[in-house]
Amino acid sequence: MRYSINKLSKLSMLKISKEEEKMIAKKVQALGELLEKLDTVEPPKEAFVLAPEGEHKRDDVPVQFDSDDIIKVFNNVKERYLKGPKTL
Amino acid sequence: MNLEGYTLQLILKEIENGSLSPEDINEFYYKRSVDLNRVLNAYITLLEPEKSRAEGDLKGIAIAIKDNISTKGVRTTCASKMLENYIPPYDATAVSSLKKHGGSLLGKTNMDEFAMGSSGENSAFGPTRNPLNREYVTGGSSSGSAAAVAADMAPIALGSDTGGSVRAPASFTGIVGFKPSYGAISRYGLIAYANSLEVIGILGKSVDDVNILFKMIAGKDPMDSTSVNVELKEKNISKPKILVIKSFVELSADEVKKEFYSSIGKLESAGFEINYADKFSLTDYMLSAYYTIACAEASTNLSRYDGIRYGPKVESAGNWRDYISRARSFFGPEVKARIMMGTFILSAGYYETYYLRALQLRKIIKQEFEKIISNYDAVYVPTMPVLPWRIGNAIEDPKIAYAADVLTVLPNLTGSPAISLPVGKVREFFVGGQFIGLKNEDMKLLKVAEIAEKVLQVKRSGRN
Repeated sequence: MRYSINKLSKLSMLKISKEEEKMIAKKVQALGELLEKLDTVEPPKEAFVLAPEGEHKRDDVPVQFDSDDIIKVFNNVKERYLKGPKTL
Repeated sequence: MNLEGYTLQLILKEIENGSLSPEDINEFYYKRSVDLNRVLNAYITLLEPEKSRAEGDLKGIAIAIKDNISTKGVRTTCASKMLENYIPPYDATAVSSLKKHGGSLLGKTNMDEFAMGSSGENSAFGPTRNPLNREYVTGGSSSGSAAAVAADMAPIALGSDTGGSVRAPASFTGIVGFKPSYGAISRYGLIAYANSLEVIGILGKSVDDVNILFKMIAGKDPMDSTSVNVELKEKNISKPKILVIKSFVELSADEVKKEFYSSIGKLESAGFEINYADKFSLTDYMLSAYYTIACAEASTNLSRYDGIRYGPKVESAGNWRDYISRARSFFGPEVKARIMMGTFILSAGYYETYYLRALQLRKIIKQEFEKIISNYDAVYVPTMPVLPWRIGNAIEDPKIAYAADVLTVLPNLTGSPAISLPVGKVREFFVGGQFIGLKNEDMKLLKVAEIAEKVLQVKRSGRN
């Protein structure tokens, strides 16, 4: 198997604990098997990945955040959001 | 007052004729949610009902929202330790549209962490339990939204669908789950996992219910350049022309197949024109293309959770690499596995072999699908190839969960609308049937599903 958990975790800047190592290895193995199926497909000749010229153009107008409003939100919500359960 | 089995449509009617008030309704769902949440774990955050008036199309009704959809002032965790205390300063466009229509917020629902999963087990807040049998999974990733609607803890809910995350839990809990065309509902405020695949979807008790909500939140949004205006006029179809792809049905377990074929018989007797295609030539590669694209996009999107831009600050005496690695340890195992695979897929030397090839396959899949559907109103296949499994089984063997997506990823790859509704019953569980339409023809698909729902009459107990 070419997906070494050690190498991949370094590459992705992820710390893997001893407890999760086995579980992640199983998941990576399962995803790797799906990936390897692509090795068996002949890629099509035409490179038709990009959208035709003109379809990239955006017609939206950037909207600015209201920073005063954002600051207000944090002061008003502390009690409300703390009601839920903590993570495990 | 007992609102068990009430559809959104019925609730709105009762408010209109004065027999129910929004306060009573919201109080009912809140109290029931507090009671049932201890066992089902459908909500991560529940909000006490606020005073509401019967205004707008939603008349003050409170709605459940998946916890990866931003809600101003209400924490939005993505079911992750990484965002345990994150409070968005703005509403997602879908949420603000609901509020504009007189809706309010009932709570934020449990899910697979960052929407990665098909079972509802990958949550940092614990798994969601299936209201039909609490030892079994609800399906995911919109697990809490489905459980809340199925257990009458909410009249209707928003979810998100990247590879079946609305339809899978709808199928496993016996409700209706609608994934609109890509771009039909703005993704602004939906916390990104795989942008090119994901959409906001709706989970409800009937096709009419999801139709009502869809029309309120659909439409082009200046904050999301990929959003589009789909036509929202009701369609008139009397005898739907349906195509069944046999190779999809054959991927299902025998008990699913039996119920599915029985539903085809009923539809045919009611005047549906049923046609069969033996196979879809790229069936074997759909999952591979899907997971390659999803993991690649996940590794890019989740790079912002580094303890600097997003995520908890951590102690670190080392360098930046050490700091970021520590901060990213707040991710759960499923998320870590997908980020690792995504990073690998996008790395030099493998990009062309995997990522580019997956994109090319996606394009061919889309072309082939559009070709085969062009003469029909919808494609009809089972939603999930299996019935719900026991909580814990997919953690032991992750292939179970990945393989369960095989019938739901197609509409995400093609951007088409799809809807799952209960079409049969096995023991305490329901079998979901999925109608898939042509991109941007959402109203036509909803009409087909509405007719099928009336014909099949697979109903849960309670009123309708």
